Parts: sequence; structure tokens; C-alpha cells
Amino acid sequence: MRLGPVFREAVEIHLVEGHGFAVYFYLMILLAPVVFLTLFLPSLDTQVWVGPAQLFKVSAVAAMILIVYFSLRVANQEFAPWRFLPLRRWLVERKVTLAEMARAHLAILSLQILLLILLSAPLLIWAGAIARVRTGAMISVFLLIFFYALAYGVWGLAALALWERKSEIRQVFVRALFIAAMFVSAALYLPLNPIAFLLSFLGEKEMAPLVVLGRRWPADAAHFIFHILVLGSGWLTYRRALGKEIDS
Amino acid sequence: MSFSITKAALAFCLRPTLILLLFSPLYAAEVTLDVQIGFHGLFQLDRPFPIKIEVVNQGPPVEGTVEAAVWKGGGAKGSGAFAVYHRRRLLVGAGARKSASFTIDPGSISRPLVVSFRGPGSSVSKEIDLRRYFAPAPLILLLTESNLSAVFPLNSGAANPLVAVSPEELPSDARAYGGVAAVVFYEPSLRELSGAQSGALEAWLASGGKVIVLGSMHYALYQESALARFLPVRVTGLRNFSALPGVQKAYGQSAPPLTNIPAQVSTLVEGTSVIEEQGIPILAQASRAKGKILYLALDVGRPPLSRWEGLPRLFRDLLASPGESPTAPPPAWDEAIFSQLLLNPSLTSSYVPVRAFFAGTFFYLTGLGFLTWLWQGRRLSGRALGVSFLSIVIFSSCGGYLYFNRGGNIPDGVLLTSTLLEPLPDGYVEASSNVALFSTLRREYDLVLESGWTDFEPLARRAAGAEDNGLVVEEEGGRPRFRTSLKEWDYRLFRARSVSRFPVRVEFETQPNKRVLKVANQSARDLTECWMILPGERVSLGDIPSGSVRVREFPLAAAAADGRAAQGDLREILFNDPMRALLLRYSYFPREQGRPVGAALFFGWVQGGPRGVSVEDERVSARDFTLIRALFPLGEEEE
Repeated sequence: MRLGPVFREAVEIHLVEGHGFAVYFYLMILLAPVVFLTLFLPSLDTQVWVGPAQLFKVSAVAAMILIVYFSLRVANQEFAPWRFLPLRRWLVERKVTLAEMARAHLAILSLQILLLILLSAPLLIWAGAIARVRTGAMISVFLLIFFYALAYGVWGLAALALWERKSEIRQVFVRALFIAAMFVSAALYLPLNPIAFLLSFLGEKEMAPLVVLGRRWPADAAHFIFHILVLGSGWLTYRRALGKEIDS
Repeated sequence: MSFSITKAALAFCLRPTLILLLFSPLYAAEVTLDVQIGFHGLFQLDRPFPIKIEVVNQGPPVEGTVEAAVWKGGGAKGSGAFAVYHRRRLLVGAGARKSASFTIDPGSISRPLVVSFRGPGSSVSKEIDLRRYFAPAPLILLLTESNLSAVFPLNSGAANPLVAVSPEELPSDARAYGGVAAVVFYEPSLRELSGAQSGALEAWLASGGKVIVLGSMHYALYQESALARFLPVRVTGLRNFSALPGVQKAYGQSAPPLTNIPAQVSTLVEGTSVIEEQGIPILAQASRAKGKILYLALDVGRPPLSRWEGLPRLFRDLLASPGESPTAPPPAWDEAIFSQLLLNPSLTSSYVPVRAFFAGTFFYLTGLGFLTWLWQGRRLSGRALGVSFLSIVIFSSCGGYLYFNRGGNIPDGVLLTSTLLEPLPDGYVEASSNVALFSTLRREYDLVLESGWTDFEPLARRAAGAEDNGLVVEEEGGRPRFRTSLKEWDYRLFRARSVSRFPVRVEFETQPNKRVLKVANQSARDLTECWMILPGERVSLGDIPSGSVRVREFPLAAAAADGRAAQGDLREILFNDPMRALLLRYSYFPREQGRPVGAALFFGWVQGGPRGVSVEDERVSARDFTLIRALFPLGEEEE
């Protein structure tokens, strides 16, 4: 599969020129102290061990929040934005098709998420080993983090396509979306919230089912259907916005 | 020829099933259980008691597990109920019977005791309603081989049931005496008593039991070493007394006078003579740690004494329960205290690899930084960068995982024992041991209770379910093993108690112008970081090595002068190990008990002190703390 010039441009800017290294630096400089202090600092409560027992939970949640946040910002081209060619130029002047553009954006988003996960992997794996977390659970957590980062990161692409020339709107949008997804969603229905879901998954605790019009949906199903809808709607919005760009 | 698969399958499955159904009940019925509760069917409510399960096998030899299941906790105790399973493996020969004895301590008798035997091909169980067997008062055990005991008015007017037992019926576990007020010896032969039975009796006596030895005409029985070690006297013979004015005066002033009474002749070895006739002890008493031994030289089973009207009064006096000796409050122990200890860095470092984690993180980040530097300086090609990055990530992840999960210094569990020793007379100490077992992974642990330790009890966890709280007691080879399973980063608390010899004598004397403390450490252990706390005075005594005596004088005038400057506050005392300060503050002298007011307090740490519980597993690290303390009440004027 050829990923075309859009993907190469992103790789050149992020990895060859090193503009993406800032993301990796921020991730590590935030994640490493969180993991270490969780291990080192005493618990606040007699029943809830925030120390080694909770090390993997806390580390996984911190990594997930950071990776989702930076995925949104990378997809939104917030790092070295002046280096990227405008979408319109790719689509109209360079004759890149909509499908090629979408494929390239999705590939670079996936690559960035993968790199962020790889960078945080040693810390998370050590935390898992200390907290005696099963290998299967650790692998599941990595897959979940990738899934969340992709589901929300797609909305970074959508914001880019919708308001390419209005960077302030884009930035406000992705941050608002991030806060809503990570924190406000817990107020609506707890299992929708990725943090709550991750904690319940690692704590092997059942979450309350979703009851809609008298029909009960298992919390897991509700969670994944919601996030697949988030991913799907983000992708559709992005494709429609790219289409509008061509039409205009 | 027609062939039906359905019919063939049915025939194939049904035949063996029918055979199995026909024969399996017959086979199972070959093993029956005979259960003896308490002492001849009696036990005291809310106290541990023995049970004996006899497996009667009328079939081929069978090997299986005998189990007695009781429930503890729950209800008014404010914690979740949990089951305690007492188990022992038994091999019962063909047409034979074998028994297993357990000491059980059900939390309530409203739930039945469930006993069972399970082996390959045989499974029998039985539910026993304990409400039919309990007595509200402690029992009196009469140990005799004489048939004259029936005439004893031992429990006349008392609520204590009297149970006559033979020596072989005595339990081998000191805990089984929990509901026994006194053991009375009359013409017993203790030659057949096993070492475990003898040890259990001594342990119970030392921890507050009472032994009454009634004399007999067969005085030779009392010269046997097995019995002689319980006597405060050495029996040498028999003599007829024309009168016993001392006994008459004490117990039979309105009764006809005693004449021509045979009594054992003896010399006092320990304790005191309460009643003497012609220099011969008639009634003598001695203490054994917290316990008491009474010796009566008279033969109460035979005339003329057996018909004497003063006998019931004499027995009432002998059996009177001794007043509770004042004891210092036991060390506090609960989840809040344990969590304080667990989170202390000095203990945390024993199970959390903080340094290794920090070093790993540092080297990983340094490696990434170095790669970035190489890349920005164009010293690496894109491919080399990719390969190097992946190598660092994979090597760090795998190496760290193997180190932290399999290797490193993370133990499977941490066993923390904190023991408080309180000196008793005669070189004994009462030891209260608080035990915590903390697990870093999900597994089972076997805790071994050392001999002489009793009252081992798990503290029920409020947050845990009944299945998590369950405890299996395996009583093989004399030392009970308590098996408990813990989840990862879970813990469980226990208590144990013992009275044993530990010859450290602490004496404190107040003289007109000074106070004098004398500590004689005749034990094999060193005492370290010893302190003396007096009102307004706090004095470090340093270490007191094994075999040494330390005498220290405290002038009264100096104490009054320094009173304001040096308050006797225990919380301000610092130790080399911060865990000691935490234990002192939260467990030995908790805030609610406060600082001992109006008393002088001596304490010191015992190096390698007695430990009641151990885990024989090298993957479990152990931390022991033992404190010996002695409290001396001061006069009112000194407070």
C-alpha cells in the first residue's frame, strides 16, 4: 500500500526534522514522574493503595490521558503547523485524491499513536510487573489506549479539515472535546468514560448496565458502541469536510 | 440386521451409570464418623474446646481428609463471617478406626459444626448442633484413675460442671483448655501422658490455669516425675495425724473434729504453706507464671475425710477463681495501624523496588535523550535510528519485566510480627504477638504456630468476603499450620499469645530520696535501646547485653527539678529504626490508652525475641519487633 506524499510530508516534519520530538518529550517528562511518584509516595487512605498496588492503574490512566491528548494535537497539526501544505493545495493543485489524503492522515495518526505507546511501554510494563498485573491485562490496556487515541484523534483530523485556516477554533475544539471525553462523560454515564472503564477493567469490577427505554445494555457493550460511534462520526465528519474542501 | 445409534449410546452410558449408582452408596456407607464434642460432651460457651473425630472404616483401606468446619465473626462482631476449616490427612486401614483431634473455636453456636471425611470414593459428612453441648461456666476436669472420685463434693454449690477424664483424654493443645477453670488431680498416673499433652497442660497452667492436687494414701503415685513437676512439695511418705487443728479451724469449725487422718508427708519445694501441721505442709500453694497450683496432703476420697462435713467448704475454697491479676492493656492491632507501618519507607523499601525503578527510568530516558542527540547531529541514519529506538524499547520492556516480575528483590510476601513481652513472676513473660502477612501476589501462605503459643486468631477483614476470609488449619505433626490465601497487594492480620520462660527480671524500688531500677537480663537475647520513663523524666539506658545486670538510680530531687524540661512523652523518643517509633506510638502505647500516668515504665527492644508465627518460605521476607515493658505503679504522692 502506497501512502503517498502527504504521509511522507508528515514523517519528514515530525521525525526527520524533529518537530514531533516535542510531543515525545512532553509525554515522557509528564508520565515518568507520575509513575515514579505513585510508587514512591505513601497512600492517602488505609483501604485504597495508591502505591505499588495501584501503580499500573495510575500509570495506565496517566498514559492514556496523555496519549489521547497528544494524538488529538498531532492530528490537528498543532506542532510546526507552518511546515504543512494546506489541504486545499494537496487536493486541488497536487491532485491528491480524497481517499489518498484520508489514508495518509489515518496512517500518520496511527504511527504517532504507536510511537507514543512504544515510548511509554517500558514504564507501563515495569509498573505492571511490580503491581503483578497479568500479561493479558497489560496487552489489553495497550490495545485500549490505541483504540481511544484513534477514536478521539480522528476528531483532530476532522477539526483540521473543518477549520484549517482558523487554528484558534481548532485548538479550542480539540481541548473541549478532550475535556468532555475524559471528564464530563463520567457525569453522564460512568461506563462511557475511558478512565472509569480502564479502572474497572483493571480492578475486575462490573460496571452498572445502561438502561434505555427499559432495555438493559451491558456496560462493556455500551462503552464500545459509544466509542465506535465516536470514531465513525469523526471519520465521516472528516471525510465530508475534505469533500467540501474539494467542492469549494 | 438393524442398528440404532441412539439405543447403542444409551446402553453404553446407562450401564456404567446404573452400576455406579448402585454401588457408590454402599461404598460410601462403609465409612462412618463418630464425633466427641468437648470433654465428655461439654464445653464452655465462647471458649475454644477439643473435638475428636473418629473415622470408622468397615471397608477396604482408605486415605482421606478429616475436616471440621466452624464459622467465626459476623453478626454483632461487626465483621464479615468467615469459615475456619480444621483438616488432617488420615489413612484408615481395612476394618479399622482412627481418630483426629482438633481444637475449635466457633464464633457462635447457632451455626452447626460440620465434620466430614473425604477420600477417593468415599465422602461422609455430618452436621452437629453445638447448642446441645455447651455450658455457661468453665469446666472442672477431674483427672483420676480411682473410682472413689464419685463421692467428691467438688462442685457442690458451684455452676462449674465437673467432668472426670482419664490421662489419655487430656488434650495435646493448650488452646483446648480455654474453657477449663481447673484441673484436679486425684490418684492419677501421668506416666502415659505424652510430651505434647504434658506441654499443653503446662502452657495452659502458665497462662493462668489452675491445678489442684489432692493427696492420697497411694503416695508413690505423687513421687513420679511426671506428676512431681506439678507439685509445690516433694512427697516422701504417709503419716497419721491424730488431729488437724489448722484444717478444722479454717473449714470445719461447726463440723465434728477430725481424728486419726492419714496425710502425705512432704517438704516444701516452692511457694508457701497455707496450713501446716507439725512442720508438714497440709495445704500448699505455688504460682507458675500466671497460673496457680494448690496441693492438699489429705486423702479426700476415703474416710474419715470423705464423710467430713467441712469438705464442701474446703473444696469451695480450693476451687475459688483467683482474682484477675492487673495487667497492662494489650498492644493495639488493626488495619489502620498496619497501614501506618506498611507505608513507612523503611518497610516499603523491603518490598517495593523504588531504587531499581528510578535507575531503570533514568537509564531509559537517558538512552532516549542520547538517541535524540545523535539524530539531531545527523550522526545516525533513519534506519539506524529506528532500529536503535526499537532496541531500547524492547530491551527495556523485556529486561524490566523479567527483573521486576521474576527477579529483583520483591518478595512474594512480608511477614511482620510485633511482640510485646510483659514480665511475670518466676522468670516468665506473657507475650502478645501481633502478626501481619502482606502479599505482593495472589497465592497461598502457610503460617506455622510455634509450640507454646495459643489464642492464634485472625482478625476479620471488614472489606473482604467470606471466601477471602476463610482459613484452613492443618494439624499435622503437632505444629498447626494456618493456610490462608491472599490476593496481590492484600494483607491479613492475626494475633497470638503465649506465656513462656524469658528470664529478664525488672525491679523498681522507691526509697526515701531516690528510685532504683534493676534490670537483670539472664536471657540469651540482648536488650537494646532501653528507656526508663518516670513522671517528668525520660532516661535512655542504652543496651543491656545478655547475662548482664544494670542498676540505675534516679534522685527524686533531680526529677522534680527537670520535670518541666523533660516530659515523659513517648512520642518524642527516637530509635534507629523508625518502625520502632511507629509501633511504640500506634500499637504498644496507642493514643487512646495514653501515656502511662502515675507509673514508672521500663521498656527495651529484644534482639531476635520470641516469635509466635513463622512462614517457612524463602520468598517471604520477615520483620520482627519485640518489646519488653514493665509498668510500676507509683504512690499517689508521687503522681
